[in-house]
Amino acid sequence: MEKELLLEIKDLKTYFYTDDGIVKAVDGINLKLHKNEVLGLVGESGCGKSVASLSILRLVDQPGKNAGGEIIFKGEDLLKKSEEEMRKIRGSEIAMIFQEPMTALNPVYTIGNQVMEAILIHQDVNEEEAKKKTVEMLDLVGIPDPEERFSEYPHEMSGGMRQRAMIAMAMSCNPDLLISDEATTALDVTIQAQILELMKDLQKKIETAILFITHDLALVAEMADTVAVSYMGKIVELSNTKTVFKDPRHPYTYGLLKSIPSLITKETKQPLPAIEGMIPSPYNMPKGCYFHPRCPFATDECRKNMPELKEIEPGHQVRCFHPVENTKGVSKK
Amino acid sequence: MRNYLIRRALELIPVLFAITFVSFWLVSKMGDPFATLIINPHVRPEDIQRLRHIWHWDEPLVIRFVYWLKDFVYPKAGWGLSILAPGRNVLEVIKSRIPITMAFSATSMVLAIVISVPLGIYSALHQYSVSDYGLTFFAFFGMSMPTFWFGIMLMYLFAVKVHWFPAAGAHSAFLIVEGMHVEFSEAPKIRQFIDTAWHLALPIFVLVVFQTGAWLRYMRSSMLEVKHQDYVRTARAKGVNDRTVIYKHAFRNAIIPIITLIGLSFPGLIGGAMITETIFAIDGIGRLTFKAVMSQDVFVAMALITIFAVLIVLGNFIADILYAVVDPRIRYS
Repeated sequence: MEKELLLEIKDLKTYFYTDDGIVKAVDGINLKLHKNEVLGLVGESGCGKSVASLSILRLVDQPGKNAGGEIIFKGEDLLKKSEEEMRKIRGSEIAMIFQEPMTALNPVYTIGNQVMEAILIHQDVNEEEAKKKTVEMLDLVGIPDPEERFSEYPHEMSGGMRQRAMIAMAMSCNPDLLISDEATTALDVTIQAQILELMKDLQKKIETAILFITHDLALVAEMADTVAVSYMGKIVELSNTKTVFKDPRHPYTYGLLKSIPSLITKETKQPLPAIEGMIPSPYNMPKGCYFHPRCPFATDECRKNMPELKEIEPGHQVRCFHPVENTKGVSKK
Repeated sequence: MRNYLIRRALELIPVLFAITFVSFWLVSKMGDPFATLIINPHVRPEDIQRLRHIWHWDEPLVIRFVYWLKDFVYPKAGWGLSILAPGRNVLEVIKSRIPITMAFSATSMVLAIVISVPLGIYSALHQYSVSDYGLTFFAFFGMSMPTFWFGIMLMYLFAVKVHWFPAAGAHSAFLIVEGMHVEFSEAPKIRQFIDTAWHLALPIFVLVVFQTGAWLRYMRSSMLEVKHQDYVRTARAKGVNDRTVIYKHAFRNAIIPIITLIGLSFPGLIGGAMITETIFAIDGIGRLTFKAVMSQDVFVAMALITIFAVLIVLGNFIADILYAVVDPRIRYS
């Protein structure tokens, strides 16, 4: 790895201190993201992906709190920065795109106003220049008639257009890191493809690294260079995209990939394989490996101890005592 | 928008017609207003008959209503005869009461808004803090305290026990100017103002506590709802500072439902507060309404009911228009 390291998350913990107990939404995550690289973070809903991304920007709402770890961004720990310093980083060096373009934009301000706001905060420009830059950004993200769209309100736009506007807002200050939290989940498939295309395109143009968070494996395969699979606030498998898809070694990743429906299973009339059980209650986490109640390969050791994230081959880390062998043919990609 | 306004304005006509007819019918059921004149030894039975005829009281209800309506729209006869204030017509009686009621209600309404909106925001931003609980206690106290009881208690405390404020009335009969007793209307304007303010302090306090309680709670819950919206998070992720997040992004959305409430309390500006005015013997519209109903002053009661109906309908209408002004999602066509 000769590429320059941009973001390194070390043992990050974000806990929610609720009346019913502590919820460990992010429980010791380690991630590395290099400049101009795309890191996919995959996992089921409710496994702490969004909280992890909000933790990076330090935007986790009460009662969520950082409970340890470091977030080294460009050599400095974000968790040690003052609120004022963080504010300067948000939107300019690290930008974020959210899941619901309908609710993520303020309904009472125009698109232009909202995109321009980011530019006015972080760049030393006057209103007129900011407006010009905003129109350029809207044009860049493929919004037709950007000058007219500037003064439109979010509700006057389609979902796809709104998400484009969100991207324009995020990209307007050329961030080094873009966090995309399920950015295409709320869109229909054709629009989703367009938005992904746009993100890839901009990533190359602006040379931004992307932390791409999704529950959709197909999107990760499409976008990411490296994939981290998370389960209940912990990374269970981490490797480059190709390896994860061709040779998944953690039973959870293996199960996820097997449960993707394909035309072949339909022809052979086999039932779609699924991972047994449900994700555990965050208030009542199982002892040992969090995945053992659902794991077909679980042993007594798994029920007692939490395995460490170990490198089982160069560049391929797995958190499992019994990594799956012989995974040939699991992925149809 | 213009067409909408015209259509709405036209819709008001049948509504008002129905309200006035039903009220007219109900008020007529109160009894024969002219019958009470019999106790006056200077009024002969023939005079009563003559008055009945002049005011069409010997005609059927519908005819009587038509005459009344005609007189209301073209008030040549000043909306009829006041039984309570013989020799004066209704319009004169009402007009003379408006200034004091306006001063009284407008002051309390403005004070209530100015106090409740910031306190509501403060309460929401410091949810579950000691000050939030304190404000909540105050709000429920204000809302649940019957104004007549609270008014009497204040009177007892501040007028009877310690003589800080007068117990009743809108102003003193005489003022002492340069050692001389001068009639109120003869005193300098500034002295009149101070004296009135001193008299109105307690009743205004009663009304402000009552209105502030309700509006504070509405503002608080509205702000709380908005505070956790996605677009507030988006704004923070852009690097917007906390002040701007609250006052630009959250407030503009949170105030929308409050505007309706304020629009709906608009009739109270002229209608006054019947109970508070009566308790504190302030000769405003509210007390007039009470007296008119209690003494079968049919024409005064009818005129007041109609004025209130018009104001309520207008208040709704204005709230609707304000709604469209602050919320771009609402467009009338």
